[in-house]
Amino acid sequence: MEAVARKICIIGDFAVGKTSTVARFVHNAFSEKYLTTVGVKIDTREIDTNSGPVKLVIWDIAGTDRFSAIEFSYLRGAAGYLVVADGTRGHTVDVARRLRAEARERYGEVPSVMLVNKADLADEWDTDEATFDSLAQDHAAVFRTSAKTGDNVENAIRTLAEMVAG
Amino acid sequence: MSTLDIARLPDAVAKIVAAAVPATVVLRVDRLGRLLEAHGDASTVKLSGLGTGKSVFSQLPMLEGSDLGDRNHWACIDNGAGHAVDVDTVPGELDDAWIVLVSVEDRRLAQQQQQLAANEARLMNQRQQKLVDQLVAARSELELRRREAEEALTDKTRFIASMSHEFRTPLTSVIGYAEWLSTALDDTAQRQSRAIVRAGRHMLSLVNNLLEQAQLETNQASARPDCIALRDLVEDIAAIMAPLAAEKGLAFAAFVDPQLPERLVIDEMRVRQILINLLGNAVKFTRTGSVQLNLSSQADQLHIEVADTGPGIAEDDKGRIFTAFKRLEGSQRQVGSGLGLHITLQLVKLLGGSIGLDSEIGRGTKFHVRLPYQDAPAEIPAAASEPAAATTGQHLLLAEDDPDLVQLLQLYLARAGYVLTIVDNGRDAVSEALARQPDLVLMDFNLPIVDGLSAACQLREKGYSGVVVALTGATLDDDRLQAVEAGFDGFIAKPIRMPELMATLQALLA
Ligand SMILES: Nc1nc2c(ncn2[C@@H]2O[C@H](COP(=O)(O)OP(=O)(O)OP(=O)(O)O)[C@@H](O)[C@H]2O)c(=O)[nH]1
Ligand SMILES: [Mg+2]
Repeated sequence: MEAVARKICIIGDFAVGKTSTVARFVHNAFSEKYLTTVGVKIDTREIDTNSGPVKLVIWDIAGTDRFSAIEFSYLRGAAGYLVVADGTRGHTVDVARRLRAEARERYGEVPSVMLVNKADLADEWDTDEATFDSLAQDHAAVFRTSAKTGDNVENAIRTLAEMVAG
Repeated sequence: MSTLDIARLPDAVAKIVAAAVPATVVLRVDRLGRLLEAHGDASTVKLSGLGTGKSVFSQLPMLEGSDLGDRNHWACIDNGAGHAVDVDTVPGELDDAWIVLVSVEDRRLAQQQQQLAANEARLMNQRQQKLVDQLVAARSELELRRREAEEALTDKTRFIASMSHEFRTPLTSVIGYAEWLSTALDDTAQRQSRAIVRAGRHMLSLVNNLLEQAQLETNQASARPDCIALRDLVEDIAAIMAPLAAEKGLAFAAFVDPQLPERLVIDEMRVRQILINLLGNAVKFTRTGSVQLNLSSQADQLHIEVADTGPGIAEDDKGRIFTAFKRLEGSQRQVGSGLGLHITLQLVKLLGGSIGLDSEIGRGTKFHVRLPYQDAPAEIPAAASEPAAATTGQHLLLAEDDPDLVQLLQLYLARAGYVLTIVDNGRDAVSEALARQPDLVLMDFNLPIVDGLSAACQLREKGYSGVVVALTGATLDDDRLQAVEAGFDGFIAKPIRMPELMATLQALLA
């Protein structure tokens, strides 16, 4: 069965771990070194879903706290969003919320999954249960992920893949 | 791949190509996305093996999801091969579309350096801000805890103050009656009643220590310097200590350096407490020999020396003995509140002085206290030390609800020649004082119906202009302040020391 291709965008504030999440998902690799993304980096991975094989074309978009025209152009044609925040920087959750709302305003309902990343840094975590509950209302699912250990990364992206595959 | 014939291109495509750097690839696709033609060197944008006739979507995944019938512009896209391109799609006129890829890898690298520096700086700021926030939160948490602890301590002080008031009132009666009896009875009974006086005073000094400690803990205490006759104070103390020493077969002596002024300004109550604590300890711990008190003036300071021939204090213990509730080993048999030296140290500090000791095991201990004092103003009459002569029938209103204390005061005040009116509550105190206009109102703080403070306020409001003196078991500083504001002219602290009471009344009525 020929894989269907789907464009997925990964969005969030800078340095929350978008590129690291994609690197974990596509190459099963992680680097402590921060190399900020300029523009967009595109990666692909094919996975099996309940609806058959899907080729995910992942647009890893440079972090921002507000979309400009350039970033809106990147979002065009996306079948789903991976929205990422950094659990050790509470305000990046607010940024994620805003970006999600801006995207919805421009492109309507598009499936999304929320990733609150850096779960391995439990000591520095400053995101509470109530925040998770409220995020759950905006997204199909919310995950505590760690691109560093790989925790929940596969889960989160597969959840979105199932939704966009059909 | 063929070279590009600019003339063939639609205007929009030609414009992009003309403005671009040489590393540019131009593709043309049909309605279904099949690659029709490709121009330019694909390797300059890290694309390889572009094959005409095949779907452009599978060859360029970045195009997934986009409608080639629309005009699109995407800036700086890393096509997955680690090379950034700007991508444009332009619909053609022949049911086809043009795709232009322009290398911007140099621009991307430069921008990445800048963006990285900026982001790292922002991260650093955010981390700092978070630390500051945490610090501020920790600080306010601490502040909250501190305030709670302080409030708890204040409650404790209030409790202890009210307890000590409860103790002082009956003690006043015990000591007062015993004093009275010791002048009125035969020899044996006199000795026995003096024992009651001593025990009563000892108990009183323990109660005073407790109250003092509570005040010191809440920093409510402040020095209350007053003009005092030092030799009277020493005589008074000696009268308490000498019999205690005699009971244990110890010699007791007190010396006052003639160089010391007759009168000086210092906090008498605190000095008295210091002396009683130091001498009380000396007598308590010394089995044989003597206890000596020496007062002298050194470098304009009052130098108090308390020497005993007791067991002495080991070098290691010298620092510890000023800590609350430290009883040195081997001395468990001794009684006391365990606060004496601790409070002494606090009191000395409160008065701005210093304390130290010399000691030798088996030989004895010598405590030194140095306290700053001021010379008394020149022409103060030494009235207070004169014996209480019978007065000329001045009228005194006594408001006190403890019948024992009333009886005792009656004995003393009548002997001194005062004409007395007695009431046992604050309401009557006000009405009687206004009706009879006594020279002086001597009034307890804690009176039924209307308390002493309110009664004093009412008296002043209604124009009573005589002297109003408080009889009070509570001696917290802020109580005094309240009392002064209410219109009291003076205080007599319970337990009442009769000679002091007489002197104060005389002075206020002079
Ligand atoms: N401890 C820990 N560090 C992580 C995790 N994910 C990412 N990082 C680190 O966070 C920093 C930023 O990660 P990136 O993946 O580059 O972040 P980004 O969201 O792509 O950032 P921009 O491209 O600037 O928007 C890097 O130093 C990563 O090593 C994680 O799960 N745990
Ligand atoms: Mg990135």
